[in-house]
Amino acid sequence: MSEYSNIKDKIFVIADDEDLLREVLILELGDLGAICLEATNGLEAFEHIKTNKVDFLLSDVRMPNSSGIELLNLIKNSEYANAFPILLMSGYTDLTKEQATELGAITIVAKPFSISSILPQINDALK
Amino acid sequence: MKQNIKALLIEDNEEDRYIFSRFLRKLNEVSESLNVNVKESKCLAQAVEILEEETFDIVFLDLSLPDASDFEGLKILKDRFQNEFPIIVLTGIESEKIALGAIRKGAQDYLQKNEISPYNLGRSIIYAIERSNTAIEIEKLRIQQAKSLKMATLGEMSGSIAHEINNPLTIMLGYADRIKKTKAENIEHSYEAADKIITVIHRVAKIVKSMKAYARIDSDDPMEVSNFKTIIDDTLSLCFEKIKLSGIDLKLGKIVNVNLLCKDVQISQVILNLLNNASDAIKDKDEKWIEISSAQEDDLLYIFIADSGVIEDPYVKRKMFQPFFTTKGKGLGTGLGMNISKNIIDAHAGSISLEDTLNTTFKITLPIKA
Repeated sequence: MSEYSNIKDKIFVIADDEDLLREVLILELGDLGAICLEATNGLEAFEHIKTNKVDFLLSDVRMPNSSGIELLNLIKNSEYANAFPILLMSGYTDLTKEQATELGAITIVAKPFSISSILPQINDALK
Repeated sequence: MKQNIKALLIEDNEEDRYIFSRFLRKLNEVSESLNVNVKESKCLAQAVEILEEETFDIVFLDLSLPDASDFEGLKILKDRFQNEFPIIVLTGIESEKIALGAIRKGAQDYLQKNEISPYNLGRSIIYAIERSNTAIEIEKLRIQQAKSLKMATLGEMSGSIAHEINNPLTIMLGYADRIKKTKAENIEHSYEAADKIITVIHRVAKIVKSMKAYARIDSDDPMEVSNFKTIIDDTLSLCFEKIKLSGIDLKLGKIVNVNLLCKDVQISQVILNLLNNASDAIKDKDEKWIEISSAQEDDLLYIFIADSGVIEDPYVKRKMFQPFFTTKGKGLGTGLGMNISKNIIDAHAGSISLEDTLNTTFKITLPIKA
């Protein structure tokens, strides 16, 4: 049994406009048995949330057209508020941890990060 | 206390040299502030030799020398010594045209030989030195200003550049982890992962290279043959992320494959400035696009930078190239971008203008000399 057993069979939304970054996240989470839905901006991610029973959202902050912040605000003011844990990723110090949690995220990680370093947090949040 | 002035007189006519030296001696007697020591030279070639050896506070240049007639001598001295010393031109004939020409070509003053007196000579020397010092100060400030504008533009983009570098780093970490975990029988999977890492390394390297090139002090750069397509590529790798994050559709029209004799960093700076202005101007609009295109006609290159915005105010149209004019909010714009852009394009013997089109379109014309 994997040490990240909570991830298995869970539905993830991966929102990031960087194709290769989504790809490697999906490969890693896929190895652990997760089902991943891709989005390149906040609105695309929200569409997935509306049409699937999402278990976890992994979202970039800066994205074209609609940002991670807009996405979290959308979620916060919708029926999906607190429905699933959210982890924000940031390429630049856009937000503090406090601001991120206020928006409804469990935390914010600064790029560059190694995926193995965020897996424990994701696993714990899915308990 | 008198100020010692070291002067060089470049004059081929012996009689004129004698008369001039006499006026200078007289000036030293009557002047309260100047004490001029003069060295003489009979032709331009000899003067250049002397000027390379010694420093002078002022140079008097006759306009009809055996080895340099009219403005030729002035041009040679300016090209070779730039603003090292002020030049007062001596002319035998009264002509406003000659006087104006000399000033435009970089002389600080002109004196008509048959009207020289110790008084107007002294006044001319003092004014010429002062004007020359002011010109040097202005040039220093101009270079400083251009540099700080460039750094401000780079600073403005630092957020999106950090984003653009941290993303590939995360990808590299991700794939490197996968390589470590790859089992021997699946070794080909690690080749794919390594290829992804290599791809993003090249992306980062390109950004770093563009940044380094852009930030370099370029005022002393020589004009060099540069490919226009490469200039556009390098410029876009700096601002692509910022434009994309603002949700702006960046359309790339025809980019002519020509070589330009130019200072590539400066051309890049102008284009970057226009792109930055465009994205600031339209970021809150519903329709957001910027289009870059170009065309070649004989030995001229036209660059068009258009955006979905509209400039209606005739006052803005009239003032936009003037220094310190900005439509951006307080503390947001220096008001120097367009002015410096115009200076750069002018120095390349080109022109920049706002086209008479519905949407904002800037047209840059540059000569192709390669």
